[in-house]
Amino acid sequence: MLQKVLCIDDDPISVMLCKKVISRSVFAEKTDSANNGEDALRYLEDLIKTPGYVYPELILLDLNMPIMNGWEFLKNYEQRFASSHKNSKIVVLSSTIDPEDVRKTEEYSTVLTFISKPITTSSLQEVESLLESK
Amino acid sequence: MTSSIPNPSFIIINSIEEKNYDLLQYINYEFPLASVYSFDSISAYHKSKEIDENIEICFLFENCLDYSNADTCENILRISSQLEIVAIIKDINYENTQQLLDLGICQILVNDYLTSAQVKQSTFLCMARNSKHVNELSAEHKTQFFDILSKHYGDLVITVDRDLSFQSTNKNIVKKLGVTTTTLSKENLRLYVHPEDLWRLDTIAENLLDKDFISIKPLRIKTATGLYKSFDASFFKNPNNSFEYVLNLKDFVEQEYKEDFRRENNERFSAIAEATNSIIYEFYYESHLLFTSNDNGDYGLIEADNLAEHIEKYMDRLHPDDRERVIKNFSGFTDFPSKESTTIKYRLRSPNGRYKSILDRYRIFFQNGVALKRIGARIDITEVTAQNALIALENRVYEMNADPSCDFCDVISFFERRMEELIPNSKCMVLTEDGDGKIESVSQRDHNNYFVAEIASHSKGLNPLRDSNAQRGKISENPIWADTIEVTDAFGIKYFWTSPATNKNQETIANILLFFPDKIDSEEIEESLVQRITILVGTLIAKHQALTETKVAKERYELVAKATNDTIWDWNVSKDILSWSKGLYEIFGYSPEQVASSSTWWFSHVHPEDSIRVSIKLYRFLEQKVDKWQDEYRFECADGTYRHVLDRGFMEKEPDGTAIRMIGAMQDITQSKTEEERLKLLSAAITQANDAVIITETPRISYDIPKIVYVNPAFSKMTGYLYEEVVGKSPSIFIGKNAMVEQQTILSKATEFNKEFIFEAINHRKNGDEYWARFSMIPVSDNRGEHSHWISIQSDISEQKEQEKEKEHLIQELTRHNNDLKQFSYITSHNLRAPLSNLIGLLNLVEDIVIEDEDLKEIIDGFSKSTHLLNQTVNDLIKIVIIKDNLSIEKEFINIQNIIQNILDQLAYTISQYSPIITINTENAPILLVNKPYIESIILNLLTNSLRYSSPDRILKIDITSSIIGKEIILIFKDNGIGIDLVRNADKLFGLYQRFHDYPDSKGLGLYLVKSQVLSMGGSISVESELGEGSSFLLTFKN
Repeated sequence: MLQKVLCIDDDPISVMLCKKVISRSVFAEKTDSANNGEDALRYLEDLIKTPGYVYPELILLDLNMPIMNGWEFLKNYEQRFASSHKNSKIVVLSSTIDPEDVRKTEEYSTVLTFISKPITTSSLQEVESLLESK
Repeated sequence: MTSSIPNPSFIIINSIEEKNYDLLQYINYEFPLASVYSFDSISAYHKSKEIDENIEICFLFENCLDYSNADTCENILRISSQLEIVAIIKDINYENTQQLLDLGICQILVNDYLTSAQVKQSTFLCMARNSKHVNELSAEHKTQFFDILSKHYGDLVITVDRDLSFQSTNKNIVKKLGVTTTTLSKENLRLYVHPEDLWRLDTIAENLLDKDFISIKPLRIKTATGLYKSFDASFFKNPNNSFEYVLNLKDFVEQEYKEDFRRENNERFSAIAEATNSIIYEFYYESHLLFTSNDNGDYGLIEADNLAEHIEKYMDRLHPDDRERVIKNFSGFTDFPSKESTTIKYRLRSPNGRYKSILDRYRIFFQNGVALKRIGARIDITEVTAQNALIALENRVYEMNADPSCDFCDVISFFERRMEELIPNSKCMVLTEDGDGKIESVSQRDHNNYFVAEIASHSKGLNPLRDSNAQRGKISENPIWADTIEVTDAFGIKYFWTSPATNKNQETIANILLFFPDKIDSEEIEESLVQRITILVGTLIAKHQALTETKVAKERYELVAKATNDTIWDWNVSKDILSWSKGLYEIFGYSPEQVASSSTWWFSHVHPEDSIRVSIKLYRFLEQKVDKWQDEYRFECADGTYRHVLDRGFMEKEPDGTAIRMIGAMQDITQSKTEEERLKLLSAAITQANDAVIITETPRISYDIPKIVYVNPAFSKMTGYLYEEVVGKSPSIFIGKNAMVEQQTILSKATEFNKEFIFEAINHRKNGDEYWARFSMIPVSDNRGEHSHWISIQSDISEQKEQEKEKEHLIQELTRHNNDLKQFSYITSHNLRAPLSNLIGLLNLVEDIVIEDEDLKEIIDGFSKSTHLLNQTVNDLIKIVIIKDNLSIEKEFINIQNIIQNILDQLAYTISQYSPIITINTENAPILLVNKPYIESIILNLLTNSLRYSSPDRILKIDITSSIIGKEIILIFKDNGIGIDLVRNADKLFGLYQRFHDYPDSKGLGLYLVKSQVLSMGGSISVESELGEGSSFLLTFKN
């Protein structure tokens, strides 16, 4: 079981669903959330300044968000956090069915996989097994 | 006075030289041909060997004798075995001299000199050599002389001394007078002469002083019988002895009949002599004396006072090349006596120093088996010999000239060398002019070339001999050589002789030039020789020139025939023989054996449609007797095709106009004919075209304005300008100024690279209206490949421009709309997808919750179903939007079998509900080049359709087959489902939101999506179906 998951999504229902499915699946102890990319970056900046912080082992990232979308976040994240938190992985969670989007996520080394919304117990199991294999 | 001793040699041995003077003078006077050798001592004489042979007389003065020596004079004087001392005279007095006279030597010497007072005072010894020989010679000579005289002139010859005492007679004395020579000896003629005639004898001495002879007629002489006989007598001095008279007596009785005979004989003799130009000579073997008659005129062979000479002197005058042979001939008297005369030819130097050719015809007379004398006639055959030599030369030259392997230079140089032999001391040159009028040696002999080059360099390139007549003379006095005197001097020549050789038109074609270092003493023979050889050279050179010209003409003809593409023909009209040049074989493809040499063959190969016209024209031409003929017709080739020819002929005719020969050149103009036809079409295309065509001439200077040379009618229609208004002017009159400036760069670049280009510009019509025109500019090059013209095709694109503008506007509009829509559909789809996925997520959560209330359970169930259906529809729609937007897709090779199997696995649950029999056969074409997600989607859709629309009446069968046809791979999905009514739905089968069956979960998107995906991969799809029977989808992909 993971210690912490960060869920970045502007849709509160989607966030709610994430938290419910994670807790039901007993996937992580704690699920934090951010409304968009910028919000998430700020959260992480703040977090790493906190003494004895627990860094999220998994980040669930929506792509279509206001202010800073998923792609912009990925770029910034890779520059600022990826190298110092190599154990942490990102899973893109989106309602897109465009294969182009799926292909694009593969360009980012920090992205573990892509899952289509809605998040389900079985999709989390898939993620879990991927994390274990790494 | 002449001596009977020819060229005697005298030796004088005297220690006091002055005392020789008188003697020498005397000898020189009396014996002009004598050689005199003087010595001051006997020992000096002994030392000199060379003179031994010729010594006749030796005078030894007493002062040279050494009396202290016991030797006698005889011993001292025994100089050689050949000498015989005949007398030693001391203190010469009359008796002494008489003693010598008795010995028969040196009568003159004794009589005239030794008896003179001066000589008497000086004491000397006299010695004669070969006295016996001289005696005999003298006697024999006398006899022979008398023989000749008697034979030709008289019956009786008597010599008498000045006192008329008998000295000698010939043998006729017995016959005529009946007395013997002995009887008469010492007696005086006077005793025998009739007393009445004695007075005549008294005048003899007196008359003979100034006359050669005196004639007494008749002179009666007493015979042995005591009777007097009348003689026709003539007295003359004995040429051998001035103290004697010769009396030539002719029997008066026999006179009458002898007279005629004699005259006849004389005439015959002189006639023969004259006819043969002979000179009669006699040669005596014993004495080596040669007597020559010059009765027949002076031929320059002998000197007048040289009628008698020693044979060796004669031999000296022989040509060195002949000498040995002739000497041998003259001494060769061992031949058997022969009545036939023998001949020998040799060359003899005449007094003027030139050699004459002599034919010597002679007979040798023998006495007691010993050759006594040789009588001969010398004929001057110089001219004949020269003629013969000339004929031989001519023959040889002609012979050489006829030999093709003999170079013409060699012929002429042979000629020149022979001429130099024929004309002594001459240098011969045959000179002509080269093409530039420069003097040139025909023979190319080094000497001549060198001379000619020198002459040319001094005469400013002019030929000094040009227009010169035949002439000769001294170089320094002749204007011809005025400029080149240095050259002639350097070559050591002083005299020249030139003769111009002419051709048959009397034009000078060469000059024969003879040079002499000294004066020319040409003879008549040489004059005629030069004349003849001039003709010879003229003929030779004219012939050579003609040959050369013919050769050149022939070469030129061959060159022309080679150079031209024309087929040359040569028609002997009268014999009807027609010959063709190679062109006939090369251009028309005939082989020589296919061609007959008559005009019939020619006419038979003229195209039937042209044949009559051509022959009429040709025969009219032959009759009209004009020179040139020309016609165009089609001529048949060996392969049966026809070529257009332009045939031109020239006729050679008799003075009366009859055609002898026609020479023609047949030019293949097929190409130009074809070209002409093509040009006609092209020209029609241009004149009939709707587009305006403008041809401009490219200016030679790049910044000049091009000029219009042609516009077609369409141009006038388009612009309103007439042809005449624009030709010769610049295109700027109708091309907008702005456009000109704009296009200038392109235009100059295009010109530079000679490339086609297109530009559009606003032009002005004549009425000022503007219109849009598109110019297609095509550069045209001239023969040398240099850009010469522009052809511009101009089309009015005003309307098109308008349409384009509208279209562009429309496209912009559509693009904008489309982008809006795209954006909209993206946003919509996403905005739909997000809440939908939430709904599904929520429903997933609800599923885990146990709901007791049945109503609520039913509601949630319906809610769940609708949500899932909505989700599927939205997903399909989004997929379509993505395909439409994404035109370029990635393709990869996939295994069809694997893909189908994956789909079957995904649909396992649904399939289990229908229990179909699915057959998959992809062995024939297992691999497809496609986009993997698309092909998955396609197969899924088609399988789903088959399952969904299966017939409830039978077990569902699905066949999936792949095969290769050509380069295409065909994938067939066949089922036995309910089928589609294609009659009604063919046009909308693959349309959006089309549903053909009333099934609750059908969205009408499946086939539309399939078609979209197939098309986006470059494939195609078709369907065969019948209601109630099943459907068959045929997908075609290109690998």
